[in-house]
Amino acid sequence: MRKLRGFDLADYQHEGDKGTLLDLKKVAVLEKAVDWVVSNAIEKVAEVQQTGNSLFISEAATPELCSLVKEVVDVIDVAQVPQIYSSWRYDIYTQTDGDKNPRISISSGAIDLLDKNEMRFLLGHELGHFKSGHLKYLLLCRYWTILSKYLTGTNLLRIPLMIWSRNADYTADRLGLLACQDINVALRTMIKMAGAPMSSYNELNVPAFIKQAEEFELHKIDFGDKIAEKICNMDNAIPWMVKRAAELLTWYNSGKYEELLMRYGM
Amino acid sequence: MKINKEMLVGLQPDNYEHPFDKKALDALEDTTGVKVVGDFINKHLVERMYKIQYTGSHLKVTKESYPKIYQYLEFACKILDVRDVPELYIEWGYSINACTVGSEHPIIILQSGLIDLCDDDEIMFIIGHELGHIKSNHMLYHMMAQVFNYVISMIPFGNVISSSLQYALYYWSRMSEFTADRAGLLCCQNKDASVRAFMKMSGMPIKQYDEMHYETFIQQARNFKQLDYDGMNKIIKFISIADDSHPWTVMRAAELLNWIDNGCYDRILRM
Repeated sequence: MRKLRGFDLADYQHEGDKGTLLDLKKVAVLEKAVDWVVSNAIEKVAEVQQTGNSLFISEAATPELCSLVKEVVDVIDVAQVPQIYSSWRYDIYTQTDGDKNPRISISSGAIDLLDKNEMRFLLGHELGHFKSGHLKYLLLCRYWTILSKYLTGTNLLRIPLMIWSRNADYTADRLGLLACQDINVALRTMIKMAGAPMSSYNELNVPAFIKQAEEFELHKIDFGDKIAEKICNMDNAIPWMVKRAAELLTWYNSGKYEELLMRYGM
Repeated sequence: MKINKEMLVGLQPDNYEHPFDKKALDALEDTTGVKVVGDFINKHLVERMYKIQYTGSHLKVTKESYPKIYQYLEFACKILDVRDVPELYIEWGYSINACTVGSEHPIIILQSGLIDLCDDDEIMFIIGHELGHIKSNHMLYHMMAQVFNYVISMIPFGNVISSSLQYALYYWSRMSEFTADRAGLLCCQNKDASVRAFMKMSGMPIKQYDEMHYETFIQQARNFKQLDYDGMNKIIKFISIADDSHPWTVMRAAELLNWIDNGCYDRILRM
């Protein structure tokens, strides 16, 4: 596996990710306000919830998982090793909280259902959010109700923010692929996340999944704002795995992934 | 799986519709506002939005991806005389559950737990149940129940019509499950499998799957005193609406066993 050094956001960022993030950053006053709310209100809430409820994964107790994390950090060149927690959830789910000091929460289901390489993809995705500077805005999305208490009149921002958060996942998936460096591993993880029954784990049909992803097309529809907002609400529960696979495959098939590996891989 | 199943060519929804369903549906269609909400749903592409989210997130079952499960689907459609085979998807879930989405071109979604925890005929029972919803044209109103709160908040003066419509809608929704269960039985044609499916759904631990006591469960179902749904306390009725996605499992089993005991099920098989 190659270790990647010297590459940055521009080398792998998804086009949809670029847009809104830049727009949000341009509004300087908003940026300051967001910083304040995130670090004083949201981070504190998230920290207490996570450290109070989840299981801290330590070197002493779970050395294998910890060293896997360190390997992934090394491969995709992340600035620091985050703290890892696990929480009881029977599905495959991860979430990163904390802007400057990230804490990754991995569901117990993810640990039970994925093999070591598939876990690389998942860790790469979460670390990808950290590396790409997404966390502040993801926290905003997740804890929106707290922000709106401090800043009235910002509800209009919510819709583009939530649409952006989907695009942020496409960027993070690319780092997931760079972390495991095997498209089949990435796709298998996605298949498991999309719903494969456990009894089918030995015979996951990757070509059929690729076919489903290629056939899936998101048609553009004109919605009224209200309806769009409602979709975004419903959106949080739905994983969009097929769409994510389609985006990742497009990037992979374009040759840019190989190029990145060649250019920055040691 | 029981191989020699009857193909029920010419099967019609009224052959298996449950009387509570029919009664509640009539009441629903008479309720103010139901047409307004229905039109809103059709005009604003609610079905489209739902389907995009589901088809973009879950695994499509095809002859190539999950041949065995696809076979169940094809077989079930033949048995129940459903001409257009709907699309089938699997989503991750550790319980035994399935749902159908969309009324113009419905898609069926199975939870992965269903595939892992149920055998052939139990799966046929559940697929048959979902096909029953489709065949009986339940889907528009089911969608209405699913998006009710969103839609009501967007129709002017929505909350004026909402509470009686909501009651009628959710109540009918529960009753429609009894009808769909009958379709499920007509599909698997295996009474034991349907009882097993109910037992698993109602709480059987996996460790006990090999030694299930049908008789105890059937007795429990028959004893369930609240069989006379009309005579129930209004409070109990209200609570049963607030229940998750289906009415009480034991009650579903009781209704289905009743139907078998009445001879109606056999009559349809011999049609």
